[in-house]
Amino acid sequence: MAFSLKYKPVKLKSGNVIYRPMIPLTLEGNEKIDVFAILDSGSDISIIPKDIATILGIKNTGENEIFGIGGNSLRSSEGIAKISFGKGHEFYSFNIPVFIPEKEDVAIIIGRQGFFEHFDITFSEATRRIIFKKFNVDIKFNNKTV
Amino acid sequence: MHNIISNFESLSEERVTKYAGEWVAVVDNIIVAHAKSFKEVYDIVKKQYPGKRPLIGKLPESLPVVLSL
Repeated sequence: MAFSLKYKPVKLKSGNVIYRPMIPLTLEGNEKIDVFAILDSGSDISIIPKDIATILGIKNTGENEIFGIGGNSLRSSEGIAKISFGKGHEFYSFNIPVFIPEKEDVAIIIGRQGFFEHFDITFSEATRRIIFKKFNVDIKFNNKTV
Repeated sequence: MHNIISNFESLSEERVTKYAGEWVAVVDNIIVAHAKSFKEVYDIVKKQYPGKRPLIGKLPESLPVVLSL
């Protein structure tokens, strides 16, 4: 089984419009919050803003630093978020590790760790679509199955 | 299933580019709130659309990022 989602247009500060892979998903905790996020195969990790983590009640499991282009770092908390993601008759729930920057109101980013292992993902630039095929695997973070 | 997919698919180029750099909330396929932070958008929707489940996200306006540990 497979499903696909269209890329979304993004208007850059320069005024140019590009198309980027973005996905809708539900973050679950104290309540369910539907969000859309950048699906970033170049990011090791997923990011959510602190305000969302607070509403969901995500427990802090550690502290870390994350690094972007140029080596700039952001101090972040770590946690585990339950997500629900899919389309049509295919919806899947699983946990992913998330990083929660202390200060900046960052966009939601879904990176590879904990998410990409669940799917065979094709980024089709020709059709501007992301195609997902589900794998059935146990995912481990820090040697624990979640 | 609730309407997360239809809310997402309603984000057309015209709508997305209009609010570049902002957080937006979509209810019943319409952008009903936009602001500079998630909390502002979330609070507006909670107050003005009780019982509705909005789709919320930030419309980026910068090039892709690379994040590593």
